[in-house]
Amino acid sequence: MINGQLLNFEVVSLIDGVFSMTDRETGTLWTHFDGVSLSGPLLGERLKFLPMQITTWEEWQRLYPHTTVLEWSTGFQSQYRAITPGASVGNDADFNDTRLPVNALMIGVESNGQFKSYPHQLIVRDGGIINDTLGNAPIVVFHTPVGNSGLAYSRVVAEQTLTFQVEIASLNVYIDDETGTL
Amino acid sequence: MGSKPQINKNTKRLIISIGLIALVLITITGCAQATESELASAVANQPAAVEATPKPAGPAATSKPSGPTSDPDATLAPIEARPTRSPNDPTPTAVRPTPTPSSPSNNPTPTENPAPVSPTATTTAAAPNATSTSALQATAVPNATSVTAPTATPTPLPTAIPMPTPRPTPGPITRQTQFVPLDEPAYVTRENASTNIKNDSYVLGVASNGEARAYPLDMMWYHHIANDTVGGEPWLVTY
Repeated sequence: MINGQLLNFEVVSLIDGVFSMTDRETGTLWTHFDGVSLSGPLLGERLKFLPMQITTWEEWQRLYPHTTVLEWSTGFQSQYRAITPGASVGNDADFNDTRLPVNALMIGVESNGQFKSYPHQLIVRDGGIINDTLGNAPIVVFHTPVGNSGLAYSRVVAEQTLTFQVEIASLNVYIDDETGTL
Repeated sequence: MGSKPQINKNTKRLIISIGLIALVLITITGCAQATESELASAVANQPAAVEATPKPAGPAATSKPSGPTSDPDATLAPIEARPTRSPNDPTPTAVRPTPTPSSPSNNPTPTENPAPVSPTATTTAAAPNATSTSALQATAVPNATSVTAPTATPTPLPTAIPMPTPRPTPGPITRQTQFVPLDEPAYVTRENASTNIKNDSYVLGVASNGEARAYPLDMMWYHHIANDTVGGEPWLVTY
């Protein structure tokens, strides 16, 4: 949704190893990854991020027992195959960057125009939780082995900035230092 | 003595004929310039007229089929849009008079060549602070100019045509992959989920206004895009 106009998207192609897409309404070219407009009538606009999560089907059902799920029979079933996030698909982009393995999983966070990536392995090294400040906003980034998933939140609750610790890792239970809330 | 007036006569004839030729040339160039400036002002007026006409939502999609001959130009224009182009430069009259119709190579900036047709479109499009209405106008303009361009005097158009540089994707941006997006895909409750979705299968999880939906990666790796509505909100789910 841009400026009140509802857009519907199509896959275009890979540009430097990153998927691009176009909207049928204006023909603007966008990136999948961060919703940036590359060219076209809506150049300068950016798609708004909405929170979503990659986790296992089991963990997602635990979190959202009332969840719905896509109907498998779309007519394209023959194309479906078991996908593991982070596994190489053979045509990886090469950016000559050896700091992390290709396709290393990370949690990307944007806050007030600032961007930061939190690789899973670094969050795990730090105990599965990082209290940080990004774009002048206090945030907390979690990673949990349950569902190999992670999320980021604002640390500001009811105008109070909290600092979090892991309480029970296997149950994804956390505690904040300031109020002791679990 | 008798030959002198003869020479003078011949010289006079020569001068007169040269004068006539010059006059004809001036007239011709004058006409050419006149038509050119007429066209420039005509084209300059077009976008304004187009913008004044209220266009229904989604003009790009509906008006695409019209004017197939000029479609490449029309669809190339929005792709060409660059933020570097300042919104005030491409006044058609400023660009047009300099290049003569027959010498496109004289133009130092060939990308400016389709001047009256596309820059109006690209500048409107390039304005980053465009409101929703001006965004709609931006989409309307390329199509509108594509329709009006062929009806204008055909002679100046050759200056615009040599410009297009070979580009990998002529025509409208279309899907260049095998991947077909999902549009408002069917979904089921978790009890009725396909047995193809295992407990340890990964899903993209979306929760919106009390509604939750899982997009199995095993499916999304292929579609890459789902245009969907969750919790009453339009969601673009990509992988």
